[in-house]
Amino acid sequence: MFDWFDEFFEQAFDELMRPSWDAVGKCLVPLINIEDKEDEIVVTVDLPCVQSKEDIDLNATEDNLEIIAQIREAIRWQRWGTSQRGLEFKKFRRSIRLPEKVDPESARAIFKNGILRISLPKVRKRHTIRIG
Amino acid sequence: MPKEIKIVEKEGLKIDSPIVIEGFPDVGLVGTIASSHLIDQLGLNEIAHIESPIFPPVMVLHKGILTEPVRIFGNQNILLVTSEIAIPPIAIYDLANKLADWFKEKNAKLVISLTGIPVQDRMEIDTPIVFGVGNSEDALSIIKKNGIETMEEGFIAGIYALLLKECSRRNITAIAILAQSFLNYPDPGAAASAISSLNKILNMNVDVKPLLERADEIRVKARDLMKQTQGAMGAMRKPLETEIPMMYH
Repeated sequence: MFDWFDEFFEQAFDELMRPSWDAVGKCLVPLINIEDKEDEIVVTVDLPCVQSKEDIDLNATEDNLEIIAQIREAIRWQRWGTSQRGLEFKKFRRSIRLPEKVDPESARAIFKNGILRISLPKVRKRHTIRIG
Repeated sequence: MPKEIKIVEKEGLKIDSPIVIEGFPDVGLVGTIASSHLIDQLGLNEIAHIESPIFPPVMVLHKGILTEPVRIFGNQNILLVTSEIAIPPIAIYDLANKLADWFKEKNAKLVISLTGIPVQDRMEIDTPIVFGVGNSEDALSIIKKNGIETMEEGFIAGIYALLLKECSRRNITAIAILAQSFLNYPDPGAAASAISSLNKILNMNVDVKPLLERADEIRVKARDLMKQTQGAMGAMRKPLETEIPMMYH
């Protein structure tokens, strides 16, 4: 019943090991959550400072999703850290390997209050098993 | 065991019968975001820090000054306990015990934890609802008197759950304010709701507008702490907070 919660904690360790920014690509890596539901994969993405859906590009294949979101007012770390200092981040970017094959053409997404939710229907074919 | 955790007070600290607010990193970082705003708005100063060999070997730099990550701020009436790092699950029991002992020593009038309760449809909620949990009849009457919904059934998990228990053992009235929140994204909107309820309880008027105006900036800055906290929440049995207890009495 509460699979979303269990799945989240399975992802937590992977998430912890991932840097939250990329100096070379000058982009921030957004926080995400992946829910593996019965008929679809639901990915939510935290995109603060992204103003509208027009600033977001989503590219999906059967097993991969790429999110690129432009930040209109670049984020600068003037005081923080060492290697981050002085860097300017103008976008969020993240590529996700999906846990199951999906039909990207049937995917839909909404963006509200800086949170993006993408629903990707699974392509898993069901076969009825006859009981002999 | 609680001796492993030490509360180091600034010299000359004299506080008696304070209200204590706790805001450790947890669901949606509601407590941490709210604490940071309260420190700013109420002009609270650092009055103590907490150290322990079971905390991660981490220090924080602020304006070039070496600072402890787990600190207590305050004035004559209010103490506020908060952290800039996720509290490791192994330290939770000892920390709750130590804090409750210290609150008793300071003759705390009331302990209030600020935190989030995860909701799956948070994206659809404009103003998060706040629920209250109390550790006694007195605590429950404070919650109800201030028009805050009480949580009637369910599990609570994490340091605020243990603080409610440890305060109860020491006859300290304690309340937890739980704002509907994103589980794993920093949630300034939920922190604002928690502060609004705190305003009612303490008859204060802390303005949440600046917090909401800075929401995007806070969400960007809090991402690394959120990631650390995600790891700790799993070990704290946070998933139980969405489950229904079997007993009915």
